[in-house]
Amino acid sequence: MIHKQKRMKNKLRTILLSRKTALVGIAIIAFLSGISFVFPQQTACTPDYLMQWQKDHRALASIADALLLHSIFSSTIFLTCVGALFFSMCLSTYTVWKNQRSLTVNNSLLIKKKSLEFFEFIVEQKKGIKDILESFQRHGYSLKTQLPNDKFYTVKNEMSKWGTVLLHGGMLVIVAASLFHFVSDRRGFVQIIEGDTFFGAKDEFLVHEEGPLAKSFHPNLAIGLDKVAPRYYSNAEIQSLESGLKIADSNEDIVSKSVSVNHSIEVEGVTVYQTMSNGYTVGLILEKHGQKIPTYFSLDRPRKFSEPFAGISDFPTTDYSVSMRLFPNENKKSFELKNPKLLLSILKNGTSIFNDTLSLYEKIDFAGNRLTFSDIRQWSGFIVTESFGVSFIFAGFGMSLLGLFFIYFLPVKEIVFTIEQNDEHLKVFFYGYSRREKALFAEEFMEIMEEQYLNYGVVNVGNELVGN
Amino acid sequence: MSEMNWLEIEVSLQWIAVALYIAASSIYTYSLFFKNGNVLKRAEHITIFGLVLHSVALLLRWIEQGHGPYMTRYEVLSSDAWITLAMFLSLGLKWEKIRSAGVLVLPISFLMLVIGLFSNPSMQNLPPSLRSIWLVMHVTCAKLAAGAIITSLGCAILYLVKIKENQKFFYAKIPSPEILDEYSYKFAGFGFTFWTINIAAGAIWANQSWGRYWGWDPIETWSFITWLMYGMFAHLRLFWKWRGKKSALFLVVCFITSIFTIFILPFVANSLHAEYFTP
Repeated sequence: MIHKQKRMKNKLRTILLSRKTALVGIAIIAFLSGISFVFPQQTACTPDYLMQWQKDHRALASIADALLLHSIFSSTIFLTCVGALFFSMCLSTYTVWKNQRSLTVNNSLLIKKKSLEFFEFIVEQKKGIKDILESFQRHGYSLKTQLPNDKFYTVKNEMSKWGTVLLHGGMLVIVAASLFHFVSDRRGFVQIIEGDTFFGAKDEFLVHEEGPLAKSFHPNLAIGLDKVAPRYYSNAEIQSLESGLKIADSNEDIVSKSVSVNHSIEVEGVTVYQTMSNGYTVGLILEKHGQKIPTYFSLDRPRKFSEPFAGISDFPTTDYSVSMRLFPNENKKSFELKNPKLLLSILKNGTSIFNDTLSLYEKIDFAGNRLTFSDIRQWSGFIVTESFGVSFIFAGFGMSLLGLFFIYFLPVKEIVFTIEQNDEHLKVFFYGYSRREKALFAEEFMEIMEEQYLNYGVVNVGNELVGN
Repeated sequence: MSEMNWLEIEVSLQWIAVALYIAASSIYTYSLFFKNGNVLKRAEHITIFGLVLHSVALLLRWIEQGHGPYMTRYEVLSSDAWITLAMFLSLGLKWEKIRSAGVLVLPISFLMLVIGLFSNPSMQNLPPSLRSIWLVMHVTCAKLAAGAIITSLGCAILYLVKIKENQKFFYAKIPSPEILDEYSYKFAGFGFTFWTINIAAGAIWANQSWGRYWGWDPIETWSFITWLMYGMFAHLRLFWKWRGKKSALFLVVCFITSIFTIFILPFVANSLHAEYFTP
């Protein structure tokens, strides 16, 4: 039994360390990601768009539904590939790290003669090792070790030997932190009207998302919106959007903070982001059988000053619906409040029963009811999140980038020379090795050798291309 | 000066730059096909002159609109062409042997610029979400990656031509196939690195802006696919010893994927990125 377990363990280790596993894993992940281009993803499109797509592509939609292709990135096959690659990377990174640590000049590829070039020089006694080393230093090679038997090991960009470990280690951190973030992330989108407060209840969110293993998200904060300050370009495009907030934390301490696009705020682990959405909220009071029903309708910002803030909504607790078009500025050249006009259409069972233009505080009567345009305020949209692991993801990116920089910008190059002394001369043999840039290194090596040739004169050149 | 005048000057400068790039491309081609290495310097000087005018045009636009050239198709293509050429010329100072790749890098660059010039050059306002140092880094690294990838492709194609022509037809001073092969790998590595920075900076910017570092937006997804392709290339090269023809052909596939991601997808996909790359 123990023997069988050991055999299984070894087999698994062999599979995970196999180069094929890495390549096939990468290829499958790339292929599955490509599929997401064909089938719209739940994570990247609105439910309406998805429904419409399913109506328009019935045949494809049935395949997508059967194979869960609308949520490819949380599908079992995708996560299994990521998991397999993760463990494969863990094992290979550990192996590379162990090898690099135990790598000494004595067991390096160089000494095993898997070197790129081999040159032999006879150097006169007066021009000794010091001159050779100085010449090497000019090319960026520094003496790493002087071994017994007069072997000198010089290396350029030695730190870069950790490039692979850093690159893959960083990717491991990214994958681990992303998975943790995916399962534990909690977020929501909320619209707050000026003067109102958001208390963190689930039903106050317009959109609410929780990771599969996340606890229910209801931030223990009260966020009051004091002021929304949008600025617009002359063509009505948004230039900046800033909101003044009053936040009461769990100890009921109140702090004033301002949040703007790209400048989030964090209180007790909850982060508040200013979104680009804002607009006006219209307050209407319906008097029906002596009962007053106040309601607020949030209208979206239009693209031009000449267009209205618009919205259609049911009137709560009644069988009416209202279609509203608001011009906040009578000149229609700005979104600033100046004698706002509300074009109101009241519908019952889809049929229009009232159309009129109202000024602020104006009252109208329809079908035995009285409606007052009672209030107008700005609203602003916020994303509220409680996420963990994001900083680790960015740290992982940092590690990976350092690794890539080492690998591609500062590749390791090694040259060893050995010395034999006879009565008159020093006899010097040179070997060079670079793992990734053999042909380019060969050129550099030749350049250094030419220098040696000019300085010392060459007696014998062996040019054995032993490596690949 | 009115916006229209600025635009006229800027567009004229870019067209002059195009003419100079075409002239330089012709000289690069002449030098290779007629085996005349002496004219390569002249081609470089003409490219530099074109690049100076191109820089002035981009700078004028930057000053006039108050933000970098990364909002419209016109700006994106023009600045990509600029960065590719600036990168190619600077790298040529360090690695002289890549200069012959100008025969491909120049035409690709002026083609990008011409496509840009045929789209709408009007200036656009910068929305607040695009006002971030991470966005600048994201865009700059995407452009640097494009430059490195185009240079890498240039070397890979020269390699393919050189081995096919067996050095009889082509100018002998083009580096040996082994060197071209390694340059194509080296620049693909640079491209891979910049592409990674581009993804990382984009993720940080997205997190800063929307509290979400990754959203599987079509362009994000294809950016990830491109990154995986270059990762596969690195593995194939290192472990499967893919060198020479196989490596060059795989690089062409990687290049097509990256071009699709950078230049085609923003204009066809329903993407957050596409919103800003208006035609």
